[in-house]
Amino acid sequence: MPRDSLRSNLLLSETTEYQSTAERVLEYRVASGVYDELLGGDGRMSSAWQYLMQAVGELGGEELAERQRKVHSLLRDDGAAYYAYGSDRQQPVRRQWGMDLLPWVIGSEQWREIETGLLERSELFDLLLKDIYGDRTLIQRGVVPPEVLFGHRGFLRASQGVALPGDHQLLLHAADLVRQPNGEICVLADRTQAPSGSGYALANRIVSTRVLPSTFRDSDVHRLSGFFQSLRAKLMSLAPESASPNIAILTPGPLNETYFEHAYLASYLGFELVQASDLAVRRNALWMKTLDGWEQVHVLWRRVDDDYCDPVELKSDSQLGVPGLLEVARAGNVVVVNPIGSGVLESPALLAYLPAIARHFLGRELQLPSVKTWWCGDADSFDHVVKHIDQMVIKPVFRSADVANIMVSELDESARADLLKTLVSKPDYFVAQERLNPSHLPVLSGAGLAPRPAILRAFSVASEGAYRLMPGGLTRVGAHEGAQHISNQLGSVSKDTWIVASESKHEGEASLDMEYRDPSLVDRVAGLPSRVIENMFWLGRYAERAEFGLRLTRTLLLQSADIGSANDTAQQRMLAALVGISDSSALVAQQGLSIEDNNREALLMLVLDPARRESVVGSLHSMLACADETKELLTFDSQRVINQIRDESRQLVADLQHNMFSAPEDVLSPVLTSLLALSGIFHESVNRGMGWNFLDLGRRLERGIQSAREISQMLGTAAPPAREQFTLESLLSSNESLVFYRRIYRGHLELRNVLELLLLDHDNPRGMLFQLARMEEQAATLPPGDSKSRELTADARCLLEAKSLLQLVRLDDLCVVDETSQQRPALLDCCHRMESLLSQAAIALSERYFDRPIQPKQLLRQHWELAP
Amino acid sequence: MKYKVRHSTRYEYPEAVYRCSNLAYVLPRDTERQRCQQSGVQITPWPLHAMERQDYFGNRSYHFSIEQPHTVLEVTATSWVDLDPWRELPSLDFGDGLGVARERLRASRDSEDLLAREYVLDSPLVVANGALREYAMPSFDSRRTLLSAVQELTQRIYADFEYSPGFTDVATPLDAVLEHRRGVCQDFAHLAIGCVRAMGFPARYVSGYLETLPPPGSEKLIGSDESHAWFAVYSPGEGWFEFDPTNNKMAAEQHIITGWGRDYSDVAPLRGVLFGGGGSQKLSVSVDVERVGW
Repeated sequence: MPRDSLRSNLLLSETTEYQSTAERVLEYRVASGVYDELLGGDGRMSSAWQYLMQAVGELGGEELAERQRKVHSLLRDDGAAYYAYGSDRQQPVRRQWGMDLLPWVIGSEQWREIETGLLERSELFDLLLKDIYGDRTLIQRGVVPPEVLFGHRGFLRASQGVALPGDHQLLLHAADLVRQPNGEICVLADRTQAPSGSGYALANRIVSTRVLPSTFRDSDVHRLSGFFQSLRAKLMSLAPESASPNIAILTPGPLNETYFEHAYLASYLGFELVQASDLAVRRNALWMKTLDGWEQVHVLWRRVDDDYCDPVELKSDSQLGVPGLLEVARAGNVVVVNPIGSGVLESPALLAYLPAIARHFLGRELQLPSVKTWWCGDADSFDHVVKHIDQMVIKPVFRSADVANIMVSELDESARADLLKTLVSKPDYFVAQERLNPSHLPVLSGAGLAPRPAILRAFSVASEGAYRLMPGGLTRVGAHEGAQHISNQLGSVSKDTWIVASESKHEGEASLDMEYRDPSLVDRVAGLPSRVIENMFWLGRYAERAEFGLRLTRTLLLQSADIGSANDTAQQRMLAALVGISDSSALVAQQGLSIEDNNREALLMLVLDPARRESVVGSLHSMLACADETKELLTFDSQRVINQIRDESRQLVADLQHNMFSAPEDVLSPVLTSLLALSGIFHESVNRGMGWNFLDLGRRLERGIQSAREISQMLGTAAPPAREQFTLESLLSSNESLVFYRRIYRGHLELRNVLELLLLDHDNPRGMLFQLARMEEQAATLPPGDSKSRELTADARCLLEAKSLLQLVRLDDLCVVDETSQQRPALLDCCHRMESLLSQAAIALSERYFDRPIQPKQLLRQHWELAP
Repeated sequence: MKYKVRHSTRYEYPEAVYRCSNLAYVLPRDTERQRCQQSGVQITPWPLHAMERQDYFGNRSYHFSIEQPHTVLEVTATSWVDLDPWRELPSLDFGDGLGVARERLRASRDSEDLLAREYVLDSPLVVANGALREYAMPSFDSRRTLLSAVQELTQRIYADFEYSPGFTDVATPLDAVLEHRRGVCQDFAHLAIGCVRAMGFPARYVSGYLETLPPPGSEKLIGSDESHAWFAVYSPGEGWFEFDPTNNKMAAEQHIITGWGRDYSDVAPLRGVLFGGGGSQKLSVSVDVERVGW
């Protein structure tokens, strides 16, 4: 009995106390018919697992659950996420990355066998890649049927003859491994164009060392950092000899499935994270747009699929690639990793011929077998597939979002008939593979352990003359015992993977202990892409706009709660200000609402409406989107607060429906507090580089614009003295200056003093002059650009004019009321000019530093990528 | 036969194009029956990068990019090409029947046969389907030879389809051509290729030019004022043979080849990506093929 064998194994431990704890915790029942990783083939726990299981026993169920919660919160703070795409591929769903506390533990002796097999496999795939885009001997000698290669969409004829410097063409290779019931490891699939997962493996590792520190240390786990050092060294070595090679990671953008990993690896390795719009081909080289101008990119690690890399020669309507990239790569002026076209190696049809390919290139069989595969385009194989169809998994030869792997045994009669029809009509496009029963290993489940099927993605990188395997990898486990589908798209949970030494310590890597590099420590060689800076600018503006709008809303709701009609005027004016911030005056009119009528709630719903980009909540969402684009600049702490804001904004949207008006404080305060915390953290921890300059500039500009607007809305028209008091109080409190006022002036609120505090006080961090002084400081550090002219730039001119305007102002003039209109003309004029000058400065800054990206167009409208 | 070919493409844009990156197939390659003696490409405005390369199919691809604002792009290729005189083939009816040829193609380990199988497969613009198969079938009696079947197919396309410029464009699907029985040389070449592939044989697209003004007494061929297209079929053991369905003849000493591929998408005379340029662009193409010697 498996259960008994576990028990007998636990008797190995010495103390009876441990036994009882362990038994309570380890309600572990081995799944039948599969190999169990914990107990091995013979029901005895291998020595590799012992440290971990002992710790599990000692910690006990509650503590384990507590640590699992910590795993969750660490990953959340890291912003670790994965975007899953539904069937329509339109609306990706952001999922938090999940990791089970317990790693997959593999002894180093066993790992060595896997390692040898995988390194051999990487070498073979490298030879295969060279042959496919070279002489194609394996077609000419009849090793692989021509249709397997020529019929594959990933075979890119445009890539013929593009060669990287160095011994290897395939620099990164990943393989998915499973252990079969007989204990044998086999390869299920290969990833070769832009293998994903190594960054998640690293994130998992950092979390597990923090959550299980002593167990990790005692278990003597092989470090991952050596692998990443090799990767970094390899990419550096590819750059032509120049003092400072620029290496960039090309990402499709923040909505890509694995964007988290792109940003994470960029930070960890000190590479630039770029999108297509940051890059351009000029003079047959690749360049990145920075604030200081164009910087050449020497090595591009692309996470964009083959086909999308270059609209000139490949998929012509791609917006994710760089026009002309392939020609630059061909000339050797940029090295693209992995080479464009390497996706063809992912064809599962090649697995059917891999033994023959190995004999052809290596003269021997592969040590590590692949899953048994039949290519349906071969007549004999097809017969076999049809005869044994129930035991088969059917896969398309090219992976795509629309065609899933089909587990034939799960189909009903008619679906099976349809499948057979498809196979008969397009046999070349499908393979059949035997269904595997992956080994199971324990995951934390409730207060105990439960068995789950596991699959391991292993990573290798071409290094000096040979491949190097990451000692570990990304383990993913199925959702339940016996689960057949394990995929991140389906929300599988991951695990860290520990390769533990059974022999003496490996001192060689002791110095590479630091697994995590704080982004702010990374010394950047190149300037940042201007897109990132632009997003910092808008991050500052949106954060400020959201904060301003939320605070005003809160003030409005709090004041209306306890006072009667005496503050109608103040309320109406605050509403008017909110309508202004959220750009909703047209909508207000359209819906027949008006500020004067008593329909405050309807107006507020409009002002806050999360569905509108311009609304107050919309600004919050825009701010989060900017934060996604600037991920690599944000420290761990700011990332944590941003995640908090993300959660709170969700809560806010939910609360808007019901309890907001009854408990505005509860609803609005958490997110306001977080926004304040964010601004503090930015101040303390963002690197004082261009990113910081623009973030702060954006914040100050926005604050100046908003308060100029609010002052004119609230005070532009005089009101009877009692009402004016409320108005002044609201204005001060929504500008967080009420306490400040009372400390300086004491007593009664007076217009003149309020204006002095909000406009002219040097020490009031919410005051106008304060903003202008800070902007002046920031603007002085911006790069001058190409112009050698001594003339002031447009933005500097606006800021100078705004500051002079303020400095020349006379407070008594501002207070003067026109008898007929009841307006304060000088005040209105001052506020309007201030708002206009600051808006102009913002536009001038954008024009000076940020290009409006122009979308590339095709010379001919071409639709030929649609087929076949 | 010696020809001078001048192929000029001109794009006019309503607004400035800031930069563009292009790939042109306008230079004749060497083949078994033709040699390009000399050629050159002239581009205005001046391209910062321009490079001739040999592509996957052995064609001469020409890559260039322009980085200065422009509203007119002009690409002119001039080439001098020698063509071998036409050698009369022995009867196309002589040789193996279709069944034998098909089996040979399937079982052969000869590398030329193996590599030719690339051209049986669907390609971006030519997907062999039931309709094409049905159209081709009457010509492909298993007792006749492949080349005689293809010749008949060529003849039928010539007879059944109306040459009608402007009715189709690059994006028109083959089914629409088949349904309306109208099109231009590219469509007829694609149609023939689809038919041949539907019958299980390799066929490829050939892009090139025709002599503009034939010598007195001979007929001016259709499609001679622009770039022309026809197709080639592979007969196992015998090699590739070119047929021109637009003119109902085998390609001969008046057919100058620029390049070949699976279909038009592999050898489009000019493709590229541009930034700016505004709305709709105006395209004009002129081709001039002059006989300059014998």
